[in-house]
Amino acid sequence: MTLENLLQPFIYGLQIGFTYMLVALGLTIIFSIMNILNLAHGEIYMLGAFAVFYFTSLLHINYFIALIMGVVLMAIIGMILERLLFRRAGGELIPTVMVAIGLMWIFQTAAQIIFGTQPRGMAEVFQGTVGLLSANISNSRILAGLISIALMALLYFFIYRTKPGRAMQAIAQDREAAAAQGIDIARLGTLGFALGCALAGAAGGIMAPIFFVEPTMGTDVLTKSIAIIILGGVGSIPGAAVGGLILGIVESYGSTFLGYSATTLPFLIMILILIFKRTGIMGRRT
Amino acid sequence: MNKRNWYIVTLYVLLSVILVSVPFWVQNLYHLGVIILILVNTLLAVSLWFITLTGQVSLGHAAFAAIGAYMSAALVSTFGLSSWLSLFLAIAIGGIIAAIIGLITLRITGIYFIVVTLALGGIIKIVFGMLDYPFGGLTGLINLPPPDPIVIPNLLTVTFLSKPSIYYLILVFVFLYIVVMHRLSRSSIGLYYRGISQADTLAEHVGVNIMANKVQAFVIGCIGASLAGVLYTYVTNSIMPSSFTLIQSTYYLVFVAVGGSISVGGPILGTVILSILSEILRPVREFEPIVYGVILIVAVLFLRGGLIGLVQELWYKILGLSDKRAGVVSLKDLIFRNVTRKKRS
Repeated sequence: MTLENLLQPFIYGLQIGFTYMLVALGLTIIFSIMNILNLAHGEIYMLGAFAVFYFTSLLHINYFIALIMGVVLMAIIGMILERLLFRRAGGELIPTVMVAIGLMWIFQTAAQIIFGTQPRGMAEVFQGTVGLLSANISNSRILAGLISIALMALLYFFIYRTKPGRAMQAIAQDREAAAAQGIDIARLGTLGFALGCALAGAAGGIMAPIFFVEPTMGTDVLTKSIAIIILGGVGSIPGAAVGGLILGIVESYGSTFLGYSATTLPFLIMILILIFKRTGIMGRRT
Repeated sequence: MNKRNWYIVTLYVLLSVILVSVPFWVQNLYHLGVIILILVNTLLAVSLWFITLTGQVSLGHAAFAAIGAYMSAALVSTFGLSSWLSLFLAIAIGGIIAAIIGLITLRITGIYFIVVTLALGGIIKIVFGMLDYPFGGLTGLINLPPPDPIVIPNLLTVTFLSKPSIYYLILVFVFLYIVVMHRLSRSSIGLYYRGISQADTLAEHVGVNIMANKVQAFVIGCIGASLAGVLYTYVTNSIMPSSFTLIQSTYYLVFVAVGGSISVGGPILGTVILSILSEILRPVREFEPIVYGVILIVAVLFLRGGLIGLVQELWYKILGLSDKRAGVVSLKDLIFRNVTRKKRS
């Protein structure tokens, strides 16, 4: 076992973890504000990746502008979905889950029909690698990690320092009390949904230059981000962040040493957490 | 007998005549195969419906069908057990796994049950695909033998070599399971389940053990799913990792949502109608998930009682009865039953 074998997966895992973190945070925000488990979240991630792919490779738009466009597009889609469908399902868990499942199929199948089932590779934004000790880290990975961290910082600022962000926290803690303070729950719900979808779309756009872009890429990410949420504690934003990092690193080592069977790791993590510490690592006591 | 009972008796007689005579007027073996699969799907939808009575939704129902199918297939073909013993063991294993998962995830309210069953539905294919022994890895188990003949010495021998005989075998199992589920849902157990789903705090306060009831419903439902998996291997004679996928688990959910959950007729109606629709859509198979997705969303948003709700309303109109909603438990009922039960014991 050389150091290279251990360092490279660690850094890659860190980067993947940061990106998963974005998806999981989006899912957490939607869940804690609106009590909706958006199972179509993985598909938003997939659509975000496709949007960035098409913007850069067909329209030849600069990657960073394409990423911003993709994120805005996903936010708009999220807003429409919330207004049109999720709001009508009445805030109950099971009807909203069913609506989300319906959307999951519609998006995934439509993507297969429109974009084709072939996995597509996107051109790297900055080619080349950086040597770090014994590991070789590709520039794309570094860029993806940096963008993820920047977005996380923005999100942190938004949630803890701005008025709508704090209002969202208030809704997550106690809906009725928040409404009594004059917080417009319906409007912030739409905003939260848009924010959640924007984060998923951003993650998709960030991953697009690294992995293949294909219609089924969302399902896997959905399972992983759910595992992250359970690992970190349902509804906890710092928990989702820490959980994302842990899952990214575990998965990276897992796929290096276990191969195909590593795909069962998110499920195992979920089960272990539910058996031994069901509030997650950073969850509040319920 | 009053007018209403006559209607019901006529309906049941008609239905049973149709079901029993199917192999006589469906000569095309392909069509008979489709009908048998509809029966298996009905079993899956009814068992999922039973779980949803407690207000839970399992997204990994097909995983239990896969467990049942794989266990029975492996026990028969790799270990050479009799098919009836294998059937029993397979559904027992399905039930035990359901009990373990239920005990882990149902202690806490919230999204845990949904997401764990979702993840289970996703990984089951990977797990069976990885295990070359005894589950045959990615190719699965093929050329499974038909179920063993039932022999009563000196009296009769029933073999299951032809498709019609398989049809009758599966019809019997599905019928029995549905009858049991129907009786359970109309008994005090069903009342507890509905009470939990509608007002869990109240149910708990009148002495209903919420977790035990939820786990019980989940185990009974998953036993049905495992049974369906075993029966599936009798139709196809093979089982592959891709036979039961995550998307199928959610199809059964559409069957329940479209059919409605106020009575056992809901999932049956939903399965039959959507299976026929799926056969009609066969030429444009790749669009099927989109159609199902749209149907699911429309059913959830605009048709809360499901098709059976509409049928029931119509039925009451024909009979000139007032519209009483059979599925909605009055909370008074729940409390009353519990109190009387306590007094008796």
